[in-house]
Amino acid sequence: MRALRQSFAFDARRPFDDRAAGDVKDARILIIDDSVAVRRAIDAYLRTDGFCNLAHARDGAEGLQVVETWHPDLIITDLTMPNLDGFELCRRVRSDTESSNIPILVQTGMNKSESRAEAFSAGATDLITKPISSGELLGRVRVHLEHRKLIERLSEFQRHMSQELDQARAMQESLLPADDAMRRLEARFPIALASYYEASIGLGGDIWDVRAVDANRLMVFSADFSGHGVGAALNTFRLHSFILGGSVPTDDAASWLEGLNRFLCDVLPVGQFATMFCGIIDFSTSTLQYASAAAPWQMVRDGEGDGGFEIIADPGFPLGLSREAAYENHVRRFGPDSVLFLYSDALIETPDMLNPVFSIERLRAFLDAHWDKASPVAIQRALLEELRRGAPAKPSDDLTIVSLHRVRDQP
Amino acid sequence: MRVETIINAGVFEAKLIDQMMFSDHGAFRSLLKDMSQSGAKKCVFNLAGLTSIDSSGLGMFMVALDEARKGHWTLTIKSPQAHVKSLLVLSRFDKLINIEA
Repeated sequence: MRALRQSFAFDARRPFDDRAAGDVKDARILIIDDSVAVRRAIDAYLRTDGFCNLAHARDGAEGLQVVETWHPDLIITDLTMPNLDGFELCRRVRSDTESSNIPILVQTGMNKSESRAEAFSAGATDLITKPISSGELLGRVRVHLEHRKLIERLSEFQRHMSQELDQARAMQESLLPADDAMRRLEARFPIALASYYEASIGLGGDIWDVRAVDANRLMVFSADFSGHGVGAALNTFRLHSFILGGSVPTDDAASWLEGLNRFLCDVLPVGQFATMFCGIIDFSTSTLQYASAAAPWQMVRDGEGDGGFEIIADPGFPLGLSREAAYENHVRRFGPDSVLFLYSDALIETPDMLNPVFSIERLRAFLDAHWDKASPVAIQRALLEELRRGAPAKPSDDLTIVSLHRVRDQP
Repeated sequence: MRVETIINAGVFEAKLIDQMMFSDHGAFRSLLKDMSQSGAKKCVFNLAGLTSIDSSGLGMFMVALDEARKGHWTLTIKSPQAHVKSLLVLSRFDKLINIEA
């Protein structure tokens, strides 16, 4: 439709209020019939009932011109007419995307079911039996106009929500480290960072960040709020704002999780929580200190070991469940060529939890097979291609992948 | 998720079957309402037939625990298997809820 008129305009305050559908009297109705008497009769019935935006056409050809210039909300047409009959009119209205949704009421004296079926096949929305009765005509006109109005309001609401979600998704992505911020960290510390984030169909609850603690240390974390959608997404904003406030020192992974846990226990309703992994890399001692709040099994590779990835599997309370929860620090070597590979559970639960493309072991094998042969960015691309091959549909949860590679060359 | 319930000798047992996910929230809330209104003093979630659970599913157990505390009934999770069991252990739910093998 080229333009929505006021009567069919979207009202965001009451998107599903079907009472609004009752107000259809200002709808535009086009009457097409080669009989002046019939056009006048229909016109009179409609005006008596309060419809006032009416146009007439003498045949299908003239009717099509009116459709194109006047954009009616409903068409009432005869079938047998000179120049262009009602069947062809229906077909042409339906074939034009601008008019394809206009309801068409066809007047028919035909009682054969084949002929009636032919009218529906051509694109008629409904039939009105001749001779036309005022009650039947008005009843069908109201039903189809209300139906059209509700469909348009619903479509407009969906467009409105889609725009809102796009905007919210962009805002949520702005919480994640920007490329230039990561490049600045790469210039300051001997690291190569690669990351990937893909929101699920709606909004989701993933968030990650990497930041300098001091001249020698870097913190990286990845969190995933339970559930999906707007609620989970709003929780990422809560957490991000709290972290930005800086009230919890960032120099100890377990203490940091405990601080976030107390905050989330205060603000999250029962049943909502977050899993989180936090690692602090100390380049002066070549160590990684980490703590986990029920994060999925993350991966780490010791650059001076046998070159393989190890699975970090440490139980811990999710954040936001118990104020008394304590978290435990673990420390391991993280020298040159070491890698920390973080991901959200969508990576190991796509397309579903029981038959994922990447089980944890398959993920580890994939990283082992590829790590020394390509850059972290190229490996993530290959990982995603493998995921898409096995699960072409969009993941049902947010997907976050972050790899932090300690490179050999000092900046 | 499919649910089968048995009430016997003051124990309300709900067998949760297949997968427990975000979309099961409504059904689970309805189940909790049934549990609370049954007057049972002990409620058991039997997970022997539950093949997988996501994070929102774990959250539902926390909602159940909250209901149990408010309603003064006890809550037990019974027979979690494989993936479900490993997630409960990873999240230390055994420290919050009574879990029976």
